[in-house]
Amino acid sequence: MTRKAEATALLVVAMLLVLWEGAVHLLRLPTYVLPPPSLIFSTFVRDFSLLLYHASLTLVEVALGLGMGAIVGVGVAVLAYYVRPIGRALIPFLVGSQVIPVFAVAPLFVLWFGFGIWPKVAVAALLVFFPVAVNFLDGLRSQGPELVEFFQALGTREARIFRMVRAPAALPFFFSGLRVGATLALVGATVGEWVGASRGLGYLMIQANARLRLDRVFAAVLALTLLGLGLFWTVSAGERLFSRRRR
Amino acid sequence: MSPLLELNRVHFGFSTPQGFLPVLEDFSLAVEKGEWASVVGPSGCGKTTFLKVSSGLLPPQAGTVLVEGGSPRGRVAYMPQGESLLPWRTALGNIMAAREAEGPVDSETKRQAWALLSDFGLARFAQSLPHELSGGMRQRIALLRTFFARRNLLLLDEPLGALDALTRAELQEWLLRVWQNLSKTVVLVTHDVEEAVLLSDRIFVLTPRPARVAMSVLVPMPRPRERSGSAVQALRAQALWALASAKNYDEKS
Ligand SMILES: Nc1ncnc2c1ncn2[C@@H]1O[C@H](COP(=O)(O)OP(=O)(O)OP(=O)(O)O)[C@@H](O)[C@H]1O
Ligand SMILES: [Mg+2]
Repeated sequence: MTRKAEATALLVVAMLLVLWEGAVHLLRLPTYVLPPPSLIFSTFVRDFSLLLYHASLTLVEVALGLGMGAIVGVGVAVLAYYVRPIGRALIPFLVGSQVIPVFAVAPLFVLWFGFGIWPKVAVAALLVFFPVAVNFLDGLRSQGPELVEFFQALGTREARIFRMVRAPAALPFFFSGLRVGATLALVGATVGEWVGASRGLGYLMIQANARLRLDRVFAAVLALTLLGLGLFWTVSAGERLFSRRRR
Repeated sequence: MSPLLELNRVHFGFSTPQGFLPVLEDFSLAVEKGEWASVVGPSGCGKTTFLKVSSGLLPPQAGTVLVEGGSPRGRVAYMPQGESLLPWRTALGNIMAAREAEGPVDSETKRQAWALLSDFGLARFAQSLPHELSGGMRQRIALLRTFFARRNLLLLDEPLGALDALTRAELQEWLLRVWQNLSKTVVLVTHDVEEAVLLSDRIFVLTPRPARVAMSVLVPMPRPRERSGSAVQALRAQALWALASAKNYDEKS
């Protein structure tokens, strides 16, 4: 983004916040219906250490979910790429795994994995692996044959061709899947925490909601947003690092 | 001595939704070690298919393909038609890929790749990525990569086909110099008859699809050859005539 575009974006955000603030005061909305941004910010600052305490666990769950989802996603894509019948057979399961509402699977995962971080990690991974698998498979399938034919004629083994040619060529696709996955992982972990947890931003939101502390709910949303942005940028930085490395 | 590349009554065709499409029919030719052979033929006749069969990428449906007396698989360096460099690797990295294809490489390989680039005037592009180079430079890198593979037989699929006339003439001279320095056997597919006459020892003229060798023309003049020289022009006319009569081959027989 250019300087000018950034300035414009900031201005738009500021205007929306002012509108929101004005509307809350004009319509005399009680804070348990919609808190004004000024209150959200001051709650965010006052509750900062509390938010940090809960956000740190959510971040761990998200990072683990993202990592595991990415590994499973790549594995599924490679399997589907090399063994076409398996790829076909997997489609209903892949789609099925994504149409089940997260709220329906989260309690199941709690049942299977207990009340610790693992059910949250599992929900996050479940949401992450799909975009990674679909994008990476697309990346593998969309390559023209010219890149690999040179190596095939030399008699290079397929495992080596995959490492030297196919995987690096599909790397940008992998990362766009991972970027989508990063935000989904946050949703997954938070929903996991709603179902059963004693710590985490999702848990904090549920608690605050029950006490009609909407300002705190929104402060948690703000924390989630910042986490999401941080993850998004981290994945992008990772992509830049890797695309430089593969040379 | 047996030829380096030998195709004997090879048949090959594609199964398409419209039915079987014969591309090579009763296709035979032989290329001797150290020779530069060119293959010319009308567009779409099956030149690329011939190279893929010769490199073992496509198995013949009948007949035999022999490279150095054995199966072609893994024995040839094949340069595909079009862009085939790895876009994320530098020129140097792409050259080295020809050796990495067979296992881990050491710093000696890197030194050799460097030397190859600088011997043929490309040292200052060593660290450039393909998209930063002109089309002519990219083809030079791709050609050097093919030469850098440890193979005696190189199969080149229209390496200069997409270049403008000036760049192409420049690259023809350059490629000849590379070949003369590196003692390899070359099979060059081209649609440019003049290019074939300028560069090769022998020209195979193909019929339209399904392709077979209609005629083999020997080019006896010493290199480098004068583009506008009378011997070159005479052979060019002969090859063009062979190409034209190969086109009518079906109608006559
Ligand atoms: N994978 C494929 N499946 C079906 N038909 C194919 C396939 N590849 C090539 N063909 C057809 O086989 C014929 C020969 O193709 P080939 O690429 O060998 O021709 P060519 O002489 O190299 O053409 P060009 O001059 O355009 O490079 C063409 O009619 C082409 O359409
Ligand atoms: Mg072709």
